[in-house]
Amino acid sequence: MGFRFDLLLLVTTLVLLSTITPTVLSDLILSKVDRRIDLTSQIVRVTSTLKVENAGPDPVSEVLLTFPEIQAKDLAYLTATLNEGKGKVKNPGSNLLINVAKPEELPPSLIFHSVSLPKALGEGDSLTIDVFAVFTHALRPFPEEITQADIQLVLFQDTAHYLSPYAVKVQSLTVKLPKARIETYTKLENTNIHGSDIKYGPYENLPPFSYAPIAVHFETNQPFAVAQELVREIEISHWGNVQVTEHYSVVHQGAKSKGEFSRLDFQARPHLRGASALRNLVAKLPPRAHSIYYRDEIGNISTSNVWGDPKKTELLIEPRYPLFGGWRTTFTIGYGLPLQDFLFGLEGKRYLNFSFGSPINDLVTDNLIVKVVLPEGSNDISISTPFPVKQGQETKISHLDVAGRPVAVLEKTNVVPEHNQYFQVFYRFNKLSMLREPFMLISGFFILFVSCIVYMHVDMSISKSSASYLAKLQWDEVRATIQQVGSIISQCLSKHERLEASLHDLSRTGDVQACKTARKTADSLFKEYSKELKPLLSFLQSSPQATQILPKVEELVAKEKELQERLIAKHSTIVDCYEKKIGGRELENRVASHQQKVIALKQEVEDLLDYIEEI
Amino acid sequence: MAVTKTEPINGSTNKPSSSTVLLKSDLMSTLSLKSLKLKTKQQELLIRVSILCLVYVLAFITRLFSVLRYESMIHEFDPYFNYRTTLFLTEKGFYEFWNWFDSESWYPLGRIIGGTLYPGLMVTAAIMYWGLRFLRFAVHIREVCVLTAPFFASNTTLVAYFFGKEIWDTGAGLVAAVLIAICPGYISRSVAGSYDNEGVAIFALLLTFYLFVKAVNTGSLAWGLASAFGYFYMVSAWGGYVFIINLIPLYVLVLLITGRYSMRLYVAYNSMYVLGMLLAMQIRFVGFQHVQSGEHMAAMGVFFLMQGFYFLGWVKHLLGDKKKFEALLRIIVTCAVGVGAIALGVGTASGYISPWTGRFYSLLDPTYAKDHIPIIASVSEHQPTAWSSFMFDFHILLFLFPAGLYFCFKRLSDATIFIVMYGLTSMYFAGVMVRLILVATPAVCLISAIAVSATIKNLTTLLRTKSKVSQTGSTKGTSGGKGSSKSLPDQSQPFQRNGAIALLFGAFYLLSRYAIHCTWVTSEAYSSPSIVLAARGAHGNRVIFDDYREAYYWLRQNTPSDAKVMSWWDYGYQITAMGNRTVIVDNNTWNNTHIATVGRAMSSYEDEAYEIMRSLDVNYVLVVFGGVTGYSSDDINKFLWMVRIGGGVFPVIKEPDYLVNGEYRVDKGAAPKMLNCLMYKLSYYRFGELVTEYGKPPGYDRARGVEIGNKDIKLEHLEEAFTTSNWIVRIYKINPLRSSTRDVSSHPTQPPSHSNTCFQHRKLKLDHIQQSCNNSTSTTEGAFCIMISKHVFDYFPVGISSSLSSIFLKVVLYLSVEGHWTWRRREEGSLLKMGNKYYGECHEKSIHCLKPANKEASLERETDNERWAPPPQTWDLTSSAWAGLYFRSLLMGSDSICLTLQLGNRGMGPLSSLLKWNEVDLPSREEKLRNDSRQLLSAQ
Repeated sequence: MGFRFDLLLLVTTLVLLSTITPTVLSDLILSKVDRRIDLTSQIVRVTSTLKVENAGPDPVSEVLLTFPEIQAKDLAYLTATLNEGKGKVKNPGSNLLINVAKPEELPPSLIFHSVSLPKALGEGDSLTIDVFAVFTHALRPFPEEITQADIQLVLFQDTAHYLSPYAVKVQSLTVKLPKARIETYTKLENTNIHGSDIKYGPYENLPPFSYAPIAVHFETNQPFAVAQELVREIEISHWGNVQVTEHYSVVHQGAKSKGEFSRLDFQARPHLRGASALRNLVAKLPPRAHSIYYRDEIGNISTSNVWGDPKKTELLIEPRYPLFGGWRTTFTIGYGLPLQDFLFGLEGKRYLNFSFGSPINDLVTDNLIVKVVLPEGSNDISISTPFPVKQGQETKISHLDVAGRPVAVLEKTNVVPEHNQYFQVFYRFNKLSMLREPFMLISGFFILFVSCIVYMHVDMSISKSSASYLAKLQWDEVRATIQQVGSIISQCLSKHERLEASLHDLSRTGDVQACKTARKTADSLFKEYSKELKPLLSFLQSSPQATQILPKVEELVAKEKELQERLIAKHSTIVDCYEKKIGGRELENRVASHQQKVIALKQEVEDLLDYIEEI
Repeated sequence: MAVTKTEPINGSTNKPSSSTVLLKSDLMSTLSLKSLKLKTKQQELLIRVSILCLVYVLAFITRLFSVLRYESMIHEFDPYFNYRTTLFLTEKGFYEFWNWFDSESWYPLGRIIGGTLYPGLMVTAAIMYWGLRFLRFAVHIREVCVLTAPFFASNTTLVAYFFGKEIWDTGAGLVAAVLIAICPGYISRSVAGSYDNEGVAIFALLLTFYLFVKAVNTGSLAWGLASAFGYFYMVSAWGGYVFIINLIPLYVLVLLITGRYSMRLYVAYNSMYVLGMLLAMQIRFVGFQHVQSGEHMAAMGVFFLMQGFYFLGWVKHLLGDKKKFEALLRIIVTCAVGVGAIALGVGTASGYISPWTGRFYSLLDPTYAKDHIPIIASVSEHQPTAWSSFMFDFHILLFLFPAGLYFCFKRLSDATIFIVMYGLTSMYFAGVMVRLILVATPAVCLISAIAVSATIKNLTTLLRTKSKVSQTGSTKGTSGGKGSSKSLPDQSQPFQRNGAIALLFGAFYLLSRYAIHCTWVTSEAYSSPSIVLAARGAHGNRVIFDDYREAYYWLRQNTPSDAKVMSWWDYGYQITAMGNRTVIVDNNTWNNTHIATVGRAMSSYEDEAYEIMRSLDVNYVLVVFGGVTGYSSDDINKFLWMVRIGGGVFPVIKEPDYLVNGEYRVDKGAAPKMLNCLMYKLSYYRFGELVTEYGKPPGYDRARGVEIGNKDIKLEHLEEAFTTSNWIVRIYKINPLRSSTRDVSSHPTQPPSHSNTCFQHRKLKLDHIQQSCNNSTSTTEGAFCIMISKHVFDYFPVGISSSLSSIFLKVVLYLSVEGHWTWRRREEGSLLKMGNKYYGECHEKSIHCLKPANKEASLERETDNERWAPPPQTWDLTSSAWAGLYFRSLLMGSDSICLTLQLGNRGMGPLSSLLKWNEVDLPSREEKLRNDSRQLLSAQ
């Protein structure tokens, strides 16, 4: 009701205004006004074509556009372009400069925007301007609460006469509605209805500030998806990726749902029961988007679909549950983009060229925050946007950052799809900084390994004279000695093998001399080995640490000695036999005892050796 | 060689020269690398280390199936609570966490989280998180939580290796590591996302045992103390520590009896027990149980026995005479037994030593829970284990286990005795309760590893020696060509050799089957995060039912933030964690009465249920229903447990009312009470109009395969608020009271004005609690601890986490201060147990009597037969709790309690009786002092 009351007040002031203050502003008149209001979606788009004529003597370079305060607060987007005759394609770059103006003597319930003309309008000259205005939250659900079975009705209020500080000669208004039921609409003179369009006018020769309130009450089952807050984070990695993360907090701002929600009805008759429910949203992502995800605070949401073609990537997301009026949900979508599509170089600087608004169709964003996370080490940051936004800067600490990454923050309220224009972030970045993080990782691992090596090789014991430390040292010595003993024994064993091999050769070639020399060399080697063993053994005997192991070592040495002797004996027997040409059975009889002993000893020696090696 | 000669002369006296000698000898040994033996030794080390590394990685990645197949998310029920608390810990810090009073669960009682949980897991995860953050890895806490269990599973394999090495040899250690890395019994609780206490606790358990065995083997004090710290970690992580504190004394006792007592054992046990006990007392949830609870008495008894043993040895040494000693021994033993028995008897009778808890009883007697405590029996993981699940979780280990026991008995040592006892006791417990298979798994793996390792070692040595002999035999054959002198073993050689090869292949076949089985079980059975259900569609594609999260998220977004949700207790943790709403009961089962009240509401008619729900201030009711999808673990199938638990406390609810000839049905033949109880109505509301399956009548329940019996369900006091897309979760909203004028006129409630001052005092008090204790309303607990700890900690300007020594100092101080306030603990205890107390005898037919009737639970009771009231001893607490609620609701402008009042004397918390209690049990001097000090504290 407050709204109504405001309107009334406004109307009365306007009426007063038009009577008291005559056209004091300038001598402009609007010779023709054509307005089209598009109400097919929750976003109200008004296109007005104004033919401006200068009736006074002075040249005029500004045209004032007027909105009542209640409408102005919903105004999201406003542009004016010069219309240079019919059939000409509009040049997007030819937008006229618009400023908020505050002319004196006029009531504060009217908000003025002044459009600067490219050149001043002389006496009698005329000009055509296209004004495009976008309003959000202008459609009010009425009734405000509906049940699941009800349809959603909304109310739209505006004026049939073009609100302007100038006199208007001829004007008309077309209201375009969705193809559905129209509950009621204000009937003035010259009101026609064509299908789903309502036409007001033409009205002629109206004074400045004329106002004729109209209200249209009609059915629309479009969900009113509003993102109360949207945070877009665009993170640049110079390794070739732009990562976009968007956190949405969406609410259905249509008529609030009341009463019970029946899943049965919703499933059985989805278009009658829950017609205005928000089932899904479609996001148009840039082409070549990859690794797309869709999740919320409690995990992944599995109801989404992606189609991709070279021109665009289309992402269809369904919330976890259908959103009825007043229901809300939050979610996050994220995707990666190839860097070369968005990052360019310019005069030694780099700049990111990225679109500003949400990629989701037909979504109104109440509060949009865009954060551009630049790589660590970027500096000299500047931002250029096609429309005014609040700018700020912060830092973000991510993987392996030391100082943190600079973040450019852009904030804007009341954002509509028309704001999806490109903005640029300029910055300087040294390519070498890219290598910083890999280098840190590498050096981290390097330090780890080096410290391991140092730890293994440095004696960390605190006291160098404690008993246990000395014992440990001694034990190390004993171990080293035993190892030496072991290696000598194993060398001996290999010599044994060689002796056996020489015997084998003998049986093939019958070369007795070679065999004898082999034995001699082996003999001398054995002597040398026993010489080497002596000091080791005496050390072991003297060392107190070795008492445990000593008998085993001694046994090993003794057994090995015996084995040597046996082998030599066997060797000489066989060689003797060959010399004496004793063969076959006889030889075998003689060798047999040696042979068995040798095998047994060998086994024992090897066992002992294994045992010692185990220590 | 000259160098080595000088060695014996200088080696022991001249250190520098000896070290040079060492260096040179080192050099020599490296130079003599050509020698094959040394090479194999190093190769073996290399192989061992790389096997361990591979096992470490394997144990980690085999647990990642769920992450790959679903997503990185938390599974099951309990982990959600753990996740929520970890989140709190990382956001608010340890101090806040420790004193956290959670008003979102157990409404209206609330829960003292800091004092009723094992913080080990959360602290571990938080430390890992902070560590990674410090190293600049910007991970999310969720990822840390999800991967905690696999990480600790990997660590467990390392411990298993060292343990195996300690009790047998390195081979057994390696096999044990491999077996435990993939054993399904362990994987079931440690897959990625199963963020539960057990994931960390099994590591701590095995570590404690390993360190203790090491201490016993070496007699080193350091290892004993290390095992005490391991025990501390275990106590902080899981209630299963009771197993350790009973198994180790038992083991010591066995060693004493078998005559294996040694100084090593003495040092190991005493150091471990004393320090372990002191450390364990620092965990608030455990507190003084080590000296007060019957479950911990065995350890203390053995401790004294040990001292006695030592003392006797000393006396024996002093006396020298055998006869005198025997006489003395007789006297001492009789005295000791007598004194011990008297102490135990007096302790138990006076209540200083608490009796065993129900869960403990049910371990000793598997049928106990079924008869006495339905709330324990209702949990599926507390059921006795079926053979199939043994087979499922152990596979070949089940057969290798006895073989391993054989090997252990063959080579009996202190360590093998330990592992044998661990294996046998845990196997028994695993048979009693399904979830305890987890505890048995490490023992089974270790013992089986011994079997595998010993068998393979025997077989391979057989093969190796035979091949050597045959080699020499062949050389001899060529030299002589004679075969008659072969000895006897040589004749059986080919058979033995082939047999060994066959057996080896058999063993490898079995092991490979084990690996295949484990992988299959892990991927199929243990890697689905029960919160997301997956099914195969008609075309073989995977269909995902994500209904739980759909419902929880709906609750989170579209209900008032102070809404209270009633559901069966299984879903409590998930609702608080994911739905972020207050619940009436949750998975923590400390208060049987509260759960029983919910069970009673669910099994009553709608009118009665409505009154109960109003008295509990419930706004939404959530039920899980599988009739559309055929999901069988829904509330209708759990319903009998609700009846049982509700009936266990409130005798108005009787199980036979819901059964027909002992049969549980939902179709036309069902019992009339069943067809009209709240649970039935909420589950099947408007289900009768739905066609679930082609060719079946509408209202066909696919989970139970019947057509439901009551298709025309009307709800009077509730309305459907939300149902998920597959109907698995249904949420109902409770209508506010419409026509309350009648009640008001019949029961005009006027709070007596003279008691208002008192009430004001309580209100003041509660405000302080709220300030200091994070909106605590129902209890004075926590606040006091805060006060003490604040006073203590204020003396130390350094932060809690500054240095180890200051922490230790604080711990000691905290302990000493807490000792002064043991009375506080008793108060807390009475509050905690309040739910299980027996409050009086209701007349059985009195519907409105909400009085619990679990007679065995308490000695305290109120003698009023008509109304519900807690015992007078707790009036002080209860009335302050309700007063707090009342005033809070007044402050916040909600009329929730006022509405309760309008129900007259039938509700749980009518203001008049609260005021009455308040008058009867006025705030004591202590209480006032406490309040004043709190006021001072908060003023600062």
